[in-house]
Amino acid sequence: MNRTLSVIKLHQRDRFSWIFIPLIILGSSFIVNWLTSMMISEDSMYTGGIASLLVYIFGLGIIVVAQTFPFAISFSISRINYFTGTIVMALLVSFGSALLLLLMSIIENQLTNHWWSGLYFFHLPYLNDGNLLVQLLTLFLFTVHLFLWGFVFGSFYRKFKKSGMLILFLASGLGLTLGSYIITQNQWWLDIWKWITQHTAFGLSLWLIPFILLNALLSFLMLRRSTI
Amino acid sequence: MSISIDDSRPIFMQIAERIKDDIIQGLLPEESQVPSKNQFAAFYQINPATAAKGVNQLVDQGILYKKRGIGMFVATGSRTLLMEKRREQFFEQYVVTMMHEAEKLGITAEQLSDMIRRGGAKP
Amino acid sequence: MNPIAELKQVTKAYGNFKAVNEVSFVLEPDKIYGLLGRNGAGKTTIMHMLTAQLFATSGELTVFGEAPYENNRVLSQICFIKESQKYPDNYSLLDVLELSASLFPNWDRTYANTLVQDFQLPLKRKIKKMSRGMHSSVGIIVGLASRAPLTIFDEPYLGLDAVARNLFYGHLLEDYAEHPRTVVLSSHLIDEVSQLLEHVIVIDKGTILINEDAELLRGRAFTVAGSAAEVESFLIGKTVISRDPFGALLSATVDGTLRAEDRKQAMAKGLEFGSVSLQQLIIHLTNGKTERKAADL
Repeated sequence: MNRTLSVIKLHQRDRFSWIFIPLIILGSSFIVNWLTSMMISEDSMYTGGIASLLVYIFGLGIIVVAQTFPFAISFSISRINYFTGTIVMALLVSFGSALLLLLMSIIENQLTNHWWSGLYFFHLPYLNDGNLLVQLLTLFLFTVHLFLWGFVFGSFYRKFKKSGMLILFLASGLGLTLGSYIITQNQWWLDIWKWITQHTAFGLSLWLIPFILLNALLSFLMLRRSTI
Repeated sequence: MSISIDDSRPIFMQIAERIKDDIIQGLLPEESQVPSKNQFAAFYQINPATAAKGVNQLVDQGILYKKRGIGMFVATGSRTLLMEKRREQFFEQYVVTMMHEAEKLGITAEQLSDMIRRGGAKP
Repeated sequence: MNPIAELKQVTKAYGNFKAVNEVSFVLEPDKIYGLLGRNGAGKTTIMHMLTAQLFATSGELTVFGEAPYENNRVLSQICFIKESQKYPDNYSLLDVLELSASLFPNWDRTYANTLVQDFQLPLKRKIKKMSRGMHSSVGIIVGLASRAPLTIFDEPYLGLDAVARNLFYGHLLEDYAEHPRTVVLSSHLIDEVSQLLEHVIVIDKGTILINEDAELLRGRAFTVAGSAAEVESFLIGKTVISRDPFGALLSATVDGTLRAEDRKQAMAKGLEFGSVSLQQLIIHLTNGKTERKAADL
């Protein structure tokens, strides 16, 4: 337990990667969108600006392994401590960012009348349906999922290095092509789209849980046998 | 790396020789305390275990003795003992070698003793 | 006394290439070891296996009596300072010290601060932006202040100037004297560290060439030089480590000590003798190995 806390500390000391950079990315995306919304004459402007944050979290999941795994194990940290500490750190940061996004969406929707310019940046229809707890959980699960998705890639690279990565990309490229071919052949696209729209954002985010767990398990299994 | 420790001979022997030198020259008077192994180690930048080996060799020879909990001291009478030994070595080490070299260079015994006299006259 | 680490027939293979080949040795408590050998001899691979950062292909390896892999009882007692340790991009020395304090049970904050001052390192500058020498100093500070029962330094002095190197050796000896522990210094520059060593392990091409008390190695060999014919007749029945012909002259390095009698006789024949430092001995042994094998055939 003690050494898992050390791993959290290891990440915490890198405030840039975990806190400042995502805030800067989100902030600058917001400012650009806000200025744009002030200049255009339309009543309302919808933007997917918060995706920038989620993309960063995905990237962080990849990079964090390369940046800290070899460092951690050369500082006498066991792989399981590294895994647990990193996951806890990711959960904390995901929760923090979900809380921030929710808070901003409340400010946007209820206090500033969409930043006095009709900007829909934090409070998006569909995403922000349901009560506050549901919204918070949705944002949290999406963030965690993206981190772990990146983390599984990072761990894969750590374990199988460049050649493994190449094979993974080729295989997944092939898989996607084959998959979409089958879907097109059977005309399933419409069904899939229907399935998605039938669900609320929260409902979809619950579907992420098995993926989150699977990715966590896979990255753990890979890191467990990774070397420097 | 530091003050002329020679890495081609066992270092403990060199430490023992230096202590003996210091005793002969009177830098370490009889019944005075000898630096600890850690002080030797720090000064010459050598391993403390090696320094200890050098000191212990002199303890075994009765030149130093151990006072429990305090340290190592120079034994009474050790200076005389060491001087005697050195004198014995002097013949082998210097005189024989000198004669050998003199022979090579064709220096006669006469010339050699003359040289020794001149050498002794130098301040 | 229980050994700190024990390797039995440990091999690390990459395909057909054996980076480490059936290596066995024991590290005893509270000694300073030298793990010496040329670059690529397998030193770093061995240290990585000791710390469970690499896995042995075969053989048995225990540290503090247990397998080190995923074993916090073992890992928390080891501090391994790598030659080119990578730190997270945003890390400063302060970050490294704070983290180390929570990882190494014997960590001494006051001592770490003293070392930072002695090595004159900036606490807040990113390590990424430090010079090679400062980077090495960061590792030295962590290694010393960790006071880990098994502390391993891999080529610790790269990029350090003479002043900083002496500072390191001085601190190491002083702190080791006060807090004895097992230290492994890995180096390809043997003269740099040889005086500090109590025991020497020499690795060459993945196998152990020498595993010996350092003092027994000093003065273990000597050189003899003179006319080739005289030298050759002198060498009969002796273990020759290397032969360096020079015109009609020959200089040879011989394994073993020279009896005063032999020396006198040989000197009369015009042969000259020289001593061999630890560094020279190891160079001769690592260079001469293939030569000797060829000669044996």
